[in-house]
Amino acid sequence: MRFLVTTADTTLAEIEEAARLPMDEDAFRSFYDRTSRSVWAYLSRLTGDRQLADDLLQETYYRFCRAGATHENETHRRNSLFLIATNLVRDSVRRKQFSELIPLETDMHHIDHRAAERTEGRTDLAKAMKQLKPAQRALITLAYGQGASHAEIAEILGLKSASIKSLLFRARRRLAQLLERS
Amino acid sequence: MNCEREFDVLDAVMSGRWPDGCDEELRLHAHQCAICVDLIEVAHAVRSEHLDEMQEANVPPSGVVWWKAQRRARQEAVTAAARTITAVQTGMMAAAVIIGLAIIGGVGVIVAQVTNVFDFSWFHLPAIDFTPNGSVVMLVTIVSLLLLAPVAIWFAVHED
Repeated sequence: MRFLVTTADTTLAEIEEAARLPMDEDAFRSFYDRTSRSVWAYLSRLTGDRQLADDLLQETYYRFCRAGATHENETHRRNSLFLIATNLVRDSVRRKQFSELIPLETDMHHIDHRAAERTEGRTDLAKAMKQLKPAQRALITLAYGQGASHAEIAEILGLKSASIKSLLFRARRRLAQLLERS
Repeated sequence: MNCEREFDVLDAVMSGRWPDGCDEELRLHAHQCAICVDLIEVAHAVRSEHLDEMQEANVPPSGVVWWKAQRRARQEAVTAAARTITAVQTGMMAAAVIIGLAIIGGVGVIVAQVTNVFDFSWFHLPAIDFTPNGSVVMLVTIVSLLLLAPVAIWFAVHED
């Protein structure tokens, strides 16, 4: 990730070294403090539900701890965390009846009309994002919210690195159209 | 789909340099290139909202999350261990009951009589000798198992 947050008393070298070791409480707390807000924002954007994002945040870190894996470096560790978060969102969406949480494309005209009435010309990114497919939403959020590279996005979403550019292009075009409409 | 300045524009947006911190040439290109126009609109909006959300995020303290994770891990470990113990003890009890039934009270005789009436010649339980010099020790063991197994099951499954 390009936007690696460091605290005043922790150097980048120390963070990279810590990533290669199993986590104790101090290491976990330090890692959590560096990443939790970013993960929460990611979950919130993907689910469109802040309450759900709160729940999934704790579940993400629990599963991350339970896995007990060691990582090559801080970036790899963060990618593992986002991979867990992404899978949790997928599971959660599946459980919550896909169409309930994310409007299907076939319903978009109807939804655009209602959204336009509610927002009355206001640019509303959240509503536009909700009209994207879940994978497109994840791509956009990782690329432009988190600042992740194409290789990192591929690792987190389980896609081929070579396909990210074209997928991202299509997702971006779609979102730009939705933003223009609103 | 390709623009050679795309990453320059993205870098400017993501680092907060867009538009005032960029040179005139990049700004001019970005306004004329359809790819960069989309990129700026989307990246700028998403990045801004993401930063706002990070500021607004009301995440629980790290100590609380760590403590909850540890407590949950312990609970899951205890549940898994209890499940294994219960399964083993249930199996032991079932085995004890089967052996006990086979031995006690001439079950073998009853089965033999039933098989004579209905011609279940294919079904025979092993005949066991109950003479004092035969299986006294075995009988005592089986009766003990039958008495102790329910107690063990109770200790395994009851919740305290």
